[in-house]
Amino acid sequence: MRATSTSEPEPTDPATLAALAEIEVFSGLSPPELADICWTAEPFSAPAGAELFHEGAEARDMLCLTEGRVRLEMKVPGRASVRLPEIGPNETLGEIALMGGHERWATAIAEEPVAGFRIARHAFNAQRAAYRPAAFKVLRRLALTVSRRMAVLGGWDRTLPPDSQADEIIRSLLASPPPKTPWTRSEELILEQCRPAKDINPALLRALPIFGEFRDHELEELIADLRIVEVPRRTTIFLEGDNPRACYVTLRGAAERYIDRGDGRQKLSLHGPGRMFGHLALIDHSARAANCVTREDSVLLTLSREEFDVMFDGGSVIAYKLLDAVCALLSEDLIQSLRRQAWFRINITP
Amino acid sequence: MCRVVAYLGEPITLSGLLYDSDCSLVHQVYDPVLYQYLNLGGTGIAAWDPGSPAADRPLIYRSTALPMYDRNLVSLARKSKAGCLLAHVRGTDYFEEGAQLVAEPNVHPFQYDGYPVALAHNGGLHRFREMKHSLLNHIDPTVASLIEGTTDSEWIYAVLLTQLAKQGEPVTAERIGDAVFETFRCIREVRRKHGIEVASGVNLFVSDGRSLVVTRFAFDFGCYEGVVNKDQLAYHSLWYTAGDAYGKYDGQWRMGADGPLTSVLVASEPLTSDDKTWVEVPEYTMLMASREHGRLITVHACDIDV
Repeated sequence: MRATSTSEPEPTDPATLAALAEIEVFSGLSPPELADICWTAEPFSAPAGAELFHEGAEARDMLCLTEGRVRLEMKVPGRASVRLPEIGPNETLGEIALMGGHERWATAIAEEPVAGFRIARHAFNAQRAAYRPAAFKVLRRLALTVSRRMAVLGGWDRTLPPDSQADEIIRSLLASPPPKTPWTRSEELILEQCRPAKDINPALLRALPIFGEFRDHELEELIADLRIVEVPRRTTIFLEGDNPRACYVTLRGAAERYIDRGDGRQKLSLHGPGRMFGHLALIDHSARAANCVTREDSVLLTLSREEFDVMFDGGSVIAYKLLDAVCALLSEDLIQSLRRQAWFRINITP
Repeated sequence: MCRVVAYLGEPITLSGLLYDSDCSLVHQVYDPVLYQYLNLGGTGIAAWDPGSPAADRPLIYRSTALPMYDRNLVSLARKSKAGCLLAHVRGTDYFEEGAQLVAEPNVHPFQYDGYPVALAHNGGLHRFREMKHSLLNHIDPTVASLIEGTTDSEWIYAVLLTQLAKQGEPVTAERIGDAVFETFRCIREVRRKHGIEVASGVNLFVSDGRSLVVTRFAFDFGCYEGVVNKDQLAYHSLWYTAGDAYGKYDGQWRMGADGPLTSVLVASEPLTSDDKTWVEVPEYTMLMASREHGRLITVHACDIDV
C-alpha cells in the first residue's frame, strides 16, 4: 500500500513557509510538503529566562527556533542539574514529542529572547495517521538528528570522571574478564547467507510487538521484502566502525551490543525476540557505533538500507511504519543514554 | 515471577528495605512496577546482624502469610537490623493448570542448617519435573536428603551447595561465584540431555552474610516453542545501586553519595519510584560484592557464558 499523495493545500502564510524552510529539519521539503507542516505549526516567543518546558512534563510539541538560544538542563540525583548543549536558530528541541516519547527528558530555558514555531504533537500525529509523506520525511530527519546526538553522547560513555560514585558503579559493571572471543564474521558474509523470508508464518511476526501495528496484508507484503538468516551463538554480526548495511529484527535467540573500554567490556543492550537493532543503518550512513554479537543460536530478519530506501522513497506505508518503530526505539535509547550521562555528572559541552 | 532484594552494607533496619519506601519489597507483592502479576506465594528473609549472637548465622523468617498483614514480620522488621539481607516474595502461577504449591517449605530464601550460604531465585526451569531427577547426579546425597519442597529453586540450591563444597575453604565471593558457574554448567548438561531448549530464567541471589553473589542470566534466552508469548520477550529484570548508606535523604529513599562505597543493594526492581540512582544490571552478568578493608565493599562483574 502506498501513501496518499499530497493533495493541493489551502494557501498558507508565505512568511511562515519561508521561515519553516530555513529550519534544518524541514530543508529540502517540497512546497506542498512544507504546507503540510505549516498546518501543524504555531508561532511562539518568550523572553530571556523563560522556561519553555520542564523535565518530566508531558511532551506535547517540538519547538523550532528562528531566533535566540535555549539551554537544556537535566536533573542529577541529589545534586544540581547537568547542563546540555545549547540549541540555536534554525534548530529544533523537544523532538521526542513527535517520535513517540511522552515525557520531557530535560528542562528548556531561554538564554535570550527566543521566537519560532511549535509543532503540536496531536496535529503532527494526524498527518502521520493519514500517511502524509511530509510527516515521515521530517521524522526521518529527526531520527538522524537524534542519532547524531547519541553518537556524541556515546563518546562520553568512554570518558567517565574518575573517583566519582557513578564511575565506581559503572566500572563495577564492566564485564571482567571479557567473554570468550566470539567467532567473527563480517556483516557482508552474514548478509550473503540471507535467504528470502517468504516461508515465514505471519503468525510468528504477529506475536512480536514491533509488528503490532501492521495489518495482515501489510505483514505479508513486509515478509516479501525481508530476508532471514540463522546465526550461531557467539558470532559477531558487526563491529564498531563498520559501514552499516542493514537493520535486524530478532525472531529467535538474542544479540548483544557492547563497546570495549580499556578496562573491560560495557554491555549496552540485549535484543531478544521482536527487538530491532542496527536500525540506524536505515537513516544514517555513519559508521557503526558499537559491536554486536549473538548470545544464543539466533534467527534474524534483515532489511538492507537499499531496500528500505526504495520502499520509503516510493511512499510505502510499510516503510513508514518501520520508521515509526525506529523512532520509538531512538526515543528510548536517547533517554537511557542521557540518564547515563546525567548519572555521570559531567558537564556536557559541544 | 518473584521479586527479590539483596543487601550488603551498613547495618540498616529491615523495615527500610521491606516496608518503608514507596516501591518497597512488600509493596511489590501487590503492585510491582516491572512485572504484571501478584507475588502471593510467601515471604522470606535471611538477615545477618554482625552485632547479634552467632553472627555468622542468619535470622531466617519464612511465611505464607501476606506480609502487608503479617504483624509478626512488621514488628520484627522495625526492631531488627542487618548488615546483609536476602529477602524474597514468591510469585507463582495461580491458574489451576499450572498452580504451584504454596507452603512454607517452598518459600525462599533456602538455608540448610550447617551450610554456609542462603539462596533466593527469580525465574523458573522449563520442564523442571522431567529433568529434576537427573539433577540428582550433581547433588551430594546428604544435601539431597534435606530437600523439603517442590520448587526448582530449592534443587538449584542443592546443586549449588554440592558445587560449593568442592571449592574448598574458606567461603569467599569468588568461590561462591565459581560454584554458581558450576551449577549452571550442571543444569546446562541436564537440559541438553533432556533436549530442553526453551528459555529459563535463573536470577540467583546468594550470600553467606559477608559477601553477595547475584546473577542476571537465562538459559536459551529468546528460544521458544511454537509462537513466542509475551512473557518470553524480556529477561527477568535486575537493578543495582551502591553508595555509603541507604536511607531517606530529602524525603527520598536512596543510596547516599557523599562517602566511600560501603553499601550495595541489588533488587528485581528499584525500591523507589524515583529510580535515577539505580542502574540496570546487564543481562548475562554475575555481580560479586564483598567486604574488604573493613567497611569498604568491592563489587565486580563477570560475564556468564555457559
